[in-house]
Amino acid sequence: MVALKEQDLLAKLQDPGMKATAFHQLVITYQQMLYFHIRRIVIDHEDTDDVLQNTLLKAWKYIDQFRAQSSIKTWLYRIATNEALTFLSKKKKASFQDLNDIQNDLRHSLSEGKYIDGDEIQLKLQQAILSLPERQRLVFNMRYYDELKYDEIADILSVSTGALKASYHHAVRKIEEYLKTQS
Amino acid sequence: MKDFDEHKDELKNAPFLDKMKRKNVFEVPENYFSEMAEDWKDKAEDEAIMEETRFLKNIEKKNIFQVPEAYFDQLPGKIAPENQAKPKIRLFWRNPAVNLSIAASIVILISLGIWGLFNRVSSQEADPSTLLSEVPTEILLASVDVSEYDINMIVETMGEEALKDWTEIQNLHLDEEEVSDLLDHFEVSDLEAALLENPE
Repeated sequence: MVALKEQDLLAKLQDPGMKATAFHQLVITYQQMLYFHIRRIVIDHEDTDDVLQNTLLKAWKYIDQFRAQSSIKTWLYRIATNEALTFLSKKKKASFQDLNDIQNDLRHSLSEGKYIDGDEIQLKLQQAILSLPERQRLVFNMRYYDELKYDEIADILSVSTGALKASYHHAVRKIEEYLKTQS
Repeated sequence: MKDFDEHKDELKNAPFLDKMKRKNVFEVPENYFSEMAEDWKDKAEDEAIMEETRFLKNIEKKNIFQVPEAYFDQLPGKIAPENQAKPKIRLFWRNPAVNLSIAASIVILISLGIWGLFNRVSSQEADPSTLLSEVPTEILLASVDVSEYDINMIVETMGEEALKDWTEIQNLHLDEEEVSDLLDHFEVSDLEAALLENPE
């Protein structure tokens, strides 16, 4: 099925009579993109499923207020990113964990291998990405895997493109360093 | 010039087409060409950085994350308006007993109708035993089915420290909707089983 043009989709999403059908189309169009973005942040499938559902429920709730100052895609990315980071933050606070513990949890989820299919080098790469500071990890994933433009990432994270480019380049060098020490 | 002349001759046989104003009907989004140039410049810079690496550039770019069978077929149905519930909240049950303590604390506080009271009492002033003893039994029973376990046992098991530490609970920043959701999804049997598994 060909995706509806964004303007048409938005008009339908904001029309009460067509909202449900249009939202169904939106979910079909963007669910995989959002799922894998969230999955790279929270790693575990069950957690991803929860965060994704919350993301889509919030999109449904707030789509009437969306004023198209960014694309629907970056708006959804922003909600998903916020929901995923909030999830990790609540998890950290709820379990009295610090950042290192959370990173260890994420590494543990990765090594458990549930719904993960990667050889040793792919897993090492994921471990390297998990070792990055949060913002660098987000930027690296969105640029390297999702191939978003810096402008889009800037919209999502509310950070200047200059800072994003620096973050990405730092991330690449740190990952390389990690892989070198592990080789 | 020969091509042009031939073209003019061809149009003589198509008078309607010859009279039509020539116009490019194809449009591009605003700033398309300038953004494309910027995008290519960014990609070139990124590739230059990647080329400097020895290990990373040789790893295949691959998505290693998988989903259960038919997950994406079923998700739109789960999100459909008629199936929408309130946003879900995770209780982190799979984690250690200390997480259980917090979740249990919140549930008990809510079920006893004293959540608001605790939010107004500082950690130094709060005394779980006193507060619990002031809760009328009918409120307690009306809120949660506690007939199968002794609430004092739960308080003792999870430790008063967890109950006293309101700051940690408040740091969860639960809004009313989430608190309501927490109650809706709370199962006494889960708590009981978890307590037995994690007595500390």
